[in-house]
Amino acid sequence: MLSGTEARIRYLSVAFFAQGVLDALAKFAQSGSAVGLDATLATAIRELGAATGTQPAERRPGDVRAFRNYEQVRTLDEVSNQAGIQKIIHILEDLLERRNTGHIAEQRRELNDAIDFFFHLESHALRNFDQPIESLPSGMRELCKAS
Amino acid sequence: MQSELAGLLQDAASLDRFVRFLKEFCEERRASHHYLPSSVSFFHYVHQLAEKTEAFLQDLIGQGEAADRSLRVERLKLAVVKAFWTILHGLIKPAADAHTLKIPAPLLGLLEQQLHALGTFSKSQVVTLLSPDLNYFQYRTGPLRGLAAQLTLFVPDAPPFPEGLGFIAIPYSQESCLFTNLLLYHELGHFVFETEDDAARLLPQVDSALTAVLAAQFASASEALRWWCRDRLLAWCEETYADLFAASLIGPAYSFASIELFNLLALLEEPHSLKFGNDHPAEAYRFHEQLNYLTTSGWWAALGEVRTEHQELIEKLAAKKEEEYEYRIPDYPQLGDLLIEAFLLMRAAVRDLAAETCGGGAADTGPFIAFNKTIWKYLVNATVPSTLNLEGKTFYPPDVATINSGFLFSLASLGALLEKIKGYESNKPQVSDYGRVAGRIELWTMKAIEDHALLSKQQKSEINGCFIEK
Repeated sequence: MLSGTEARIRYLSVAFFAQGVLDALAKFAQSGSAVGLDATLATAIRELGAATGTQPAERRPGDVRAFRNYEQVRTLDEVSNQAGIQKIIHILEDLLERRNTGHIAEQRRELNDAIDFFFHLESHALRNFDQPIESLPSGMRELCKAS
Repeated sequence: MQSELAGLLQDAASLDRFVRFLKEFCEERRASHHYLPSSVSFFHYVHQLAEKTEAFLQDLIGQGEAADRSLRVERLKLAVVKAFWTILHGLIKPAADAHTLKIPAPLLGLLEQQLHALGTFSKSQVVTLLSPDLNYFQYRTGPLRGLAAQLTLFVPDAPPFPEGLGFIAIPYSQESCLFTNLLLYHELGHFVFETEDDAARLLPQVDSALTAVLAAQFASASEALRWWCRDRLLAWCEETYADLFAASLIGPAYSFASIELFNLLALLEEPHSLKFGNDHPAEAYRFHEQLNYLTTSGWWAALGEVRTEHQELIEKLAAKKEEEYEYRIPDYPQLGDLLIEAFLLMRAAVRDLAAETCGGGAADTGPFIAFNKTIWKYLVNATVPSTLNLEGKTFYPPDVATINSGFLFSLASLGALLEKIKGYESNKPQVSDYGRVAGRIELWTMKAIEDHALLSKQQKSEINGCFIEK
């Protein structure tokens, strides 16, 4: 059988993912440094897209994926609703497009929104890591209609 | 109110003490005990990572002034690094407890040898952990390895997690046993499943099965709910795969060992044996799949006329009707039935996957059929069956044959050995006598495995997996 550590590692993967994005965004906000920002933002957009079902579910061999099982997707759901996540995806896409314009001030508010989002995601993932809880997803009644 | 900088310093100091303790603990244990190379690799990794973490913490504090907002981010970074160390903390003590005097070293040697024979696992190593739980576990190292790689983003020059390292835990009470520890083969199956990323390979078929049963409702469900369903099916597939993997490599002895453990845990009584759990298929299903493999591979017939209670129980469980399986989800019983229906569509895919992995590594029935009776003759005379004399020739039977024969003897013919003990009265059976003699059979079988490892190195000729000396 699998160990109870597995669920905790799943939450920790989300925390690592959020910390990676947070680190890049914080550096960009503080010093304008965009080193590694492109790749980080592209990964974040792809991961959040997969978590919201706008990209197909997949587990590519060897990849560390942030949202590839129920515990991870649920952690994201607990932090924000679908509209909120879509908003963050748009902010990241916008940052990716305009990062080199030098107008950080214009992007400051959006940047802070994104930083707050990933800060809360990471904090929440760490809370789940410390105190893993089992809960069922919503919408099961609808699935039962298939019978 | 405490400033963010003071808080950061406090967090860093706390983590520094934690890491130093773990580093010194590993060093102290390594100096006073002997470990298998796999454990040494792990302790070496801990040591290297501890040094890099200590340097990272010093640099972090040295950077000093920053905006409070940035310090909050840095404190959170410390929290994730600490969480990673928390995972290692959970592995270090059980690994340190499993020094070579406390583990079934000959069996672990055989296990690793069989693992290496599976092509892509030629350099894999298994760290044994002694667990306080009365169960066997496999710790996933894939995600841990991924996290260790990501750790370099925060901890400069953090070493990579050792390649090909797996972690398997055995109950500390079973350290000297042979037969129950055959369940390690199941845990090895989990390790192989994870390493080959078989979940990724099965996912499209899982989605197809769920779509076939849940239809449009699955497509329109939330992503969290879809993953919850997928996770159930993937976990059940993996458990079944690990069973088939174990049965392929070690034969019916694995199923017997499962019966021993499940009986101990009272999992084989109805209705429990019919119930699916979140991570496990029903025991009845698991034995159905094992029996199917053992029958098609010829192992079940190879057991011959010997009939033990274990065989009967396996057949009884395997014969349960699928309609009797149950997965209880509070308030949603229909959904449980639907998930089982979808899972049963995965049966062939899981069988194929296990067969593909094990391939040429699957245990052959030939040597067991050839030597079983002779091994029994040795055991009933309290002799280690590592060197057999048969029709004027000397044979060193392969380990899988010896293990299956020894286990079967222990289940079917313990009485014959007891009768030979001076002063034993069959009309006054003593539990302690049975226990002591059963332990002896395990010991002799284990010794035969140990001998075989040495003898096979000395012999040059090998015929059908048996070393022979004219």
